[in-house]
This record gives sequence, structure tokens and C-alpha cells, in this order.
Amino acid sequence: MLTKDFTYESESRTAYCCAEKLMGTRFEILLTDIEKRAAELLVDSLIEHISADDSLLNRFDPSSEVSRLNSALAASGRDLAFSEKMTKWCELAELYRAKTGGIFDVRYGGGYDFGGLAKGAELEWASETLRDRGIHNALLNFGGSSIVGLGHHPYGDSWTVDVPDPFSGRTLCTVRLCDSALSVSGNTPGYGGQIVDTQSGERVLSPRVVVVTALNPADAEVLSTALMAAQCGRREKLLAEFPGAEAQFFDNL
Amino acid sequence: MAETIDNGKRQFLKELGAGAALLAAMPWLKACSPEKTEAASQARGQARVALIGCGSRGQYHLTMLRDIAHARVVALCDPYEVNLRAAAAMVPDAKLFSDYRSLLEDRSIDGVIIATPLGSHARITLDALEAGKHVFCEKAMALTLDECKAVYEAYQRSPKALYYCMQRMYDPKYIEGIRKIREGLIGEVVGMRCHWFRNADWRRPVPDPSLERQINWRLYKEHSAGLMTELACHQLEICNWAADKIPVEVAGLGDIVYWKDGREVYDSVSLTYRYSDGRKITYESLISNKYNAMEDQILGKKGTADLTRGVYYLEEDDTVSGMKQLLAQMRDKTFGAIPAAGPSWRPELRNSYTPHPLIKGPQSVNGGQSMVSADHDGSDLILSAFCTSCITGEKVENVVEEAYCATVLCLLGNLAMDTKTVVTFPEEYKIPYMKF
Ligand SMILES: NC(=O)c1ccc[n+]([C@@H]2O[C@H](COP(=O)([O-])OP(=O)(O)OC[C@H]3O[C@@H](n4cnc5c(N)ncnc54)[C@H](O)[C@@H]3O)[C@@H](O)[C@H]2O)c1
Repeated sequence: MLTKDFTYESESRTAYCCAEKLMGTRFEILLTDIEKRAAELLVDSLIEHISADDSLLNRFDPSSEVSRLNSALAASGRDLAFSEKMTKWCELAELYRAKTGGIFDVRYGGGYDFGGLAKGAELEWASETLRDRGIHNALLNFGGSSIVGLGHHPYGDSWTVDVPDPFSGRTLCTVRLCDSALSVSGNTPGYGGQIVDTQSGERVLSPRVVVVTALNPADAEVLSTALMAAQCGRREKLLAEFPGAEAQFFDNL
Repeated sequence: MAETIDNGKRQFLKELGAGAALLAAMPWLKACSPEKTEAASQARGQARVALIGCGSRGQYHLTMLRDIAHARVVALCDPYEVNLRAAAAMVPDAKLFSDYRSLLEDRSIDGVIIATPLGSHARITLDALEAGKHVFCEKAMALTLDECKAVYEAYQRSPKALYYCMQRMYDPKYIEGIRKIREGLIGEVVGMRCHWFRNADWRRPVPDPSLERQINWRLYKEHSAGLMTELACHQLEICNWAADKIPVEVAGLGDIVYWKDGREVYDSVSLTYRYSDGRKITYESLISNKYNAMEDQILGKKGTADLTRGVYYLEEDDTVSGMKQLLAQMRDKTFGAIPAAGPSWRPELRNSYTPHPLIKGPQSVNGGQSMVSADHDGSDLILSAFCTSCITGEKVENVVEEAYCATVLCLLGNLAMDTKTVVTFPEEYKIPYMKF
């Protein structure tokens, strides 16, 4: 069940909201220099939108469209008719599949899985919505692995984020976000294997972390997933498809 | 530091009064509220208490009693002259006895504090209740299962209060810890892991060889049930508290591994207690290596409570949110980097878990290395509650039952180790309080 926790600090005019169990993780948003009521309404509408998409895409909810599609696929090998929303998601996924030369594919393995795209796409949509409403400084964080910083910290020139080494807890790298996004993909022996190299069909099992920054959170998310899966030789080519994006690899953790 | 801990504890006790739900779950805390103590002593002055057994623990109780305004130590008893004198020096006005039976005849005494070797706990407790005294006895309850049963039954008939010094029941970090565990802090409780390690022989210096068994009573079976009753007793009680059940069986192995000095009790024990639902307590104690010290861990599906240290750890720990740090930065008008949680898996190394405090403010942590005491571990509160009972005459709820359960489990553990069998909880030692 989705739970929401809204905090407003009037002195600093800062609003913070944390929604648990959204897209399988925690969604946090921090808005600065904003009225309480405006912040509340805005945050509610963002969460409502994401939550609606979540019930479309959630593979673990048997009644979601993705689950129904996947069971139909498993049973008959055929796709059901897509809803309008699902068509949009598939178009977006197709765009990224083409851009990554097939490395990123939501259709790998016999079913649909938007896991490596949805959070980034939601962050992108949310950032646009905020900009439209005249919010220029905000930090949005999806589970600590997909983060977008709009504008900057009120007392700094960016939003600065330390990415930890999952083994030691030490900081792997520090990323400055200023109208840009961060996505971290990773693997450890204990929790490996969620990411599959679609070219070789192999699960990526080596302890490895990829930290990607890009102007746009959906790009960052897709790229970090693709770079995790890609063989070293293909990294350069992939990155070249995403102008402005940067990646740091931590291969021997 | 001690000052702030005391303040913290006072605050904690104040809040206790407000926590009706807490008092319903842990009714033995009722006698602890400062108002209750105050009211009792205003109405009827001080509790007149006597100490039976003036060894190291007894003398420690005397130091605590000094700070308990509603207590007055009126008599001391010990057949061992050296210890009686030492205690008398601390309470010069007290009457002195070498035989507790004469002490019990003294009608000016409201209650007795028993801090003798385990072998005499039951006899003295039974006699004291019979003599119409309120009783505070050191743990464990008794040396044998039958003695436990006899004490339990005598208490059912007695109008007097009986306390056991199971101080974890009065230790704020344990109380809060258990309360929060019951509220779901660490998810479903799936197991317990407790141990107590020391690197010491458990001996005291003996001025004359003829006193060996008397002074080093812990090492001999006629007086002692060894590590189980001396150490495990406290910890098994906590496990039952967290499980809200009593184990149905126990298996274990005990040995004398290092201290082969003529002692009769094990210096190394490893046991598994099993609840009816399959959950287990893994218990271990060894006194020739202290690296692991003492820990009482309650293992939950979502996290681990380390009650000894008053902290808990979460399996999926999102609570140290960088975003929360940002909020603090806004408040302080500062700028700094915040941690991203990184990819959504978590490390499997123990030291990468972040400890979260179970109670607010400073707290005392007991490393378990002292044979006598640990400051601020609840012993002072329980003693104070006992003195309140001596004044009000009110019995305390659940303490005898908890002490009975814990002691019986210790003794069954010894039985399992002695016979190298899996021991099932015997019907004849079950009491209505126990849930299996
Ligand atoms: N709750 C705790 O954390 C804690 C800590 C330490 C000890 N204890 C308990 O306290 C008790 C005493 O331990 P200790 O370390 O003080 O032992 P100790 O040997 O230092 O003291 C025991 C004293 O009792 C006296 N004694 C023996 N038989 C007696 C009798 N019939 N009447 C009166 N006095 C008698 C002995 O002469 C000795 O002076 C034990 O049951 C022990 O388990 C509890």
C-alpha cells in the first residue's frame, strides 16, 4: 500500500514528501521556496500520476496491464491489445531500444519489464511538470538510484550527492546535479543477476557499479541499465548516442 | 554522563505513567512511577529492609539503597564474618546477624533482600515469605526445578510481594526495545541470538582452602547451576519476552574447555531452544575468550534489535535518507553533499548496517564483563520498586512468573547438556502464565 509522509518547514519554506512503495521503492521530493498549500497540491498530483502508471506497469500486481500482457504472452505467445497509455510506454521503450542498438529492451525474456525505464521516465515527466509550474529548484529521488536535481540547493550552486560503495559504504564518487539527473545501476554477488546482457543472453553477475549522469533522467536510467549489461568494448559507442551523458564505471569492487 | 542518564531515566519513568498501554503489557512497572513512590513514602515513611548475603552483589545493593530515599537498611546477615563486617561498615546502624532465621524473627523488618549463592535462594525465600516478609531475591530463582515449583506455589498462597532481580525488565532500553518490537519495528520476530563471553576464571581469592567451596560457590554444583543460571538466565527471559512464548524444547552441549581447575560447572555452553512455531534461541557462553562480549539480539524479518546496546538495524535501511539531511541543511542554512542510497540492493556485511537508537538520549551499555554489576541497568529501579512494595504491601505482577520461566529454562538447558538429549518442557513444571 502507498503511504505518504509530507513535511513542511515554514522557516525555510521547504517542503519534503516521502512516498513509500511507489514503483517498488521510495519516492522522495524536496521543494524549496514554496508555500505549504501549493507544495501539498503539487506533490499530491505528482504522486497520483506516478501511482497510476505504477498500477499499469507493476509486474508484481497480477491485475496490472503488464501482468495481463505477460500472462497472455506466456499462454498464447501473443500480445493483447494495448491501452493508449501502454502504447505510449512501448513507443518510448522502442525509441530507447533503437538508440542502444537493442541492448536496452523491455521485451527481453518473454515478457514486458519496464523496470529500467519507468522511474527515469516518471522523473522526467515530474521535472517538466515542476518547471511548468514555475518551480526551478527541487530534488527528486527514486529509491536512491534515480535522482534528478532541478536548479540548485538554496545555499549551494548544485545539489551534491555522494554515491556509496555498496560493500564498504565509502563514497565511490560525488556527483553535482544542476538541472541534471543521476542513475546508479549495480550488482553485487548477493543481489546480482537482475540485469541481463541482451546480446549475449548472460546475466551480469560481476560486482560492478555504473554511475551515469545525463541531462534527462530517462536517458540516465536507460543508459545505466544498458551500460551495466554491455561488454566493455561497446561502452563508448553507447555513450556517444547520449550527448551530454557521462558514465563512471566501478568494475572491481 | 551518569547525571544525564539519571535524568533520562527519570524522564522515562515520568512518561511511563502516561503510557497505559505499556503498563498493561509490562505491569511490573506500575510500582516504579515517581508519584507512586512519593505517595507511598509520604504516607508511611521508609521501607525497613534487611540484607541477607553481604558479598559483592549484596554490597552493591547497599550502595544503591543509599540513593533510594524511601529505603532504610535496618539489618544485615552473613555467616561469613569478613563480608558481614564490610557491609556493616557501609551501614553502621544496622543490626547484625549470622543466621538468617534469627533475622526473620525480627518484626521490625518489612522486607529482605537475598543476595546469597543460588543454592540457598529457595530455602531463604520460602522461610522469609513464611515469616511474613516481603522478599527481593537475586536471580536465579532456585537451584532445582522442584525448588522453583515450591517457591512459585508458596508465592501463590502468600500475601507478600516477591521480586527477583531480573533487571532487564526494568532497563529502559529493553523496555522500549520490546515495546517497539511488538509494534513491528523489526517485522515479524524470527529468531533470537544471545551470547555472553568473558575471559576470566570466575574465581574469587580464597584466604583459607577450607573456604574454597563457600567463596567460589559458582563453580560447584551443590551451590550453583553454572553459566546458565548466572548469565543465561537474564537473556532467556528477554527472548521469551520478545517471542511472547516459552520454548518447547532444548538441546545443547556443555564442556569444561579451559578452566580445568577442579570446577564442576561448564565453562563453555552452546544451546538451542526451540519454540513450538520453529523459532529458535541460539545461546552461547564461553569464559575463556571475550571478543564477542555480551549480546541479546532479537532477529526480525525486517531488522535486528541489539537490546544490549539499545540499538536496532534494518535489513533494508532507507531511514538514513539523504533527503532528511537536506532538510536539516535548510534549517541550518548550510550546504553539503548528501548520500544517495546507491543501487537498491544492500550490502551483506554486518558492519555496514547503520545503528539506530532504541531510546532517546544517552544510555548506559553493559559490556557484560563485571561479575558484580553494571551501572544503570535497571537494578536500582527494581530495588526501588521493591522498597515501594514494602511500604504499600502491593505485590508485583509477572516478575515471579518471568523469573520462574527463565530459571526453569536454564535448568532444562543444563539437563539437556548433562544428558546429551533433547529435553522437552516437562508438563509438571508448566504454569498457567506460560504460553507455548
Ligand atoms: N542480577 C545480577 O546481575 C547479579 C549480578 C551478580 C550477582 N548476582 C547474584 O547475586 C547472588 C550473590 O552473588 P555474589 O557475587 O554477591 O556472591 P558472593 O559470594 O560475593 O556473596 C554471597 C554472600 O552470601 C553469603 N551467604 C551464603 N550463605 C548464606 C546464608 N545462608 N545466609 C546469609 N548469607 C549467606 C556468603 O557468605 C557471601 O558473603 C547470586 O545469586 C548471584 O547470581 C546477580
